[in-house]
Amino acid sequence: MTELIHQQWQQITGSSWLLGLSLIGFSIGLWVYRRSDSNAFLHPLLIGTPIIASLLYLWNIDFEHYYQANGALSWLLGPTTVALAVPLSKELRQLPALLRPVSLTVLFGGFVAAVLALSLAVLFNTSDLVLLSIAAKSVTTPIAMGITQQLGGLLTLITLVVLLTGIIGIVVADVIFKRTGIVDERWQGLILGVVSHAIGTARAFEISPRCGAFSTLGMGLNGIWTSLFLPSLVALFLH
Amino acid sequence: MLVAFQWLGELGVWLTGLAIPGSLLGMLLLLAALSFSDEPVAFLDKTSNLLIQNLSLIFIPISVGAFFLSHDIYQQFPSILTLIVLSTSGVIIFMTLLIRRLVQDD
Repeated sequence: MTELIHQQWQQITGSSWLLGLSLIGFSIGLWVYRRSDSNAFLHPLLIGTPIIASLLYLWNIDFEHYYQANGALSWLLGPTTVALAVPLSKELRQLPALLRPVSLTVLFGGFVAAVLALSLAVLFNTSDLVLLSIAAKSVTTPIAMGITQQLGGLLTLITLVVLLTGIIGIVVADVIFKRTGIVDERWQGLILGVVSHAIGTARAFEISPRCGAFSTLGMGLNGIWTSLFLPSLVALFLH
Repeated sequence: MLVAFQWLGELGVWLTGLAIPGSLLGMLLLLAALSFSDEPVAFLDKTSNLLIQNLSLIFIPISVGAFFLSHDIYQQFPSILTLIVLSTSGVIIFMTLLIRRLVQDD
């Protein structure tokens, strides 16, 4: 336990001016995203990270060094995961009436998401390391990172995979909602949250506050549920 | 306060050997605590909103790492992308059909 405290302390104190680079990259990304009317393909992460990466290449700074210099930012991930409890607790109050459809959708949806991803990984014959790093793809990044770390996957890969899943999810969901005539905002939100986590939730808040609240619910419940079954499920798919 | 619950979670995982992230257990503990109080805790509301709204910023450093992955991973990237598109579409269709059935039943 003291080791953990020491480790986190070093993570924070190891920060340096390179943290500013992240802030600038993020601000540019956010500016572009807002100017584009929140176009999913122009998500701040998709715009900001290539800018930062090219500067690092240009200045010959290696990634390890940059990552350590941003320790304080990464450290915030823990408290932010805990913070998800706040919007979630508000939704929990109106849950009892809808308990059955909500819980069944999250239970089956989250499970099918993981089984589909893992089966396709085996089908495409990806390496075990890739398989471990994509298993948690539908889970919100703070929780996905925790799960992936425990599975022994690559943190750098899972964040990219989670991000792409989120973006592809909101684009596909748009089309499918129109085709199948799912008009109830509560269900749209729930699906967005389970599949596209925080990105889906941000999108859902654009549709309506109610849609966003259900998305938060889907995201939170799926995060908890997936972290429970995923370690045992993954073991079945390893070579 | 959020940090305190995170530590409580870390401590809980460390004590029980549970296979979930400590921060997740921390979130569950806070959720349980919040469900006991009737009115929302204002300062917690403000902080958590700020953090959740700027979630993307926290992921910037680790996402930059996507540009520094090994050659081996890049070679598998086309399959990874196809996999994401197929499985994501599949799940959305599955859940849409599931919800339609469930809601019709009621």
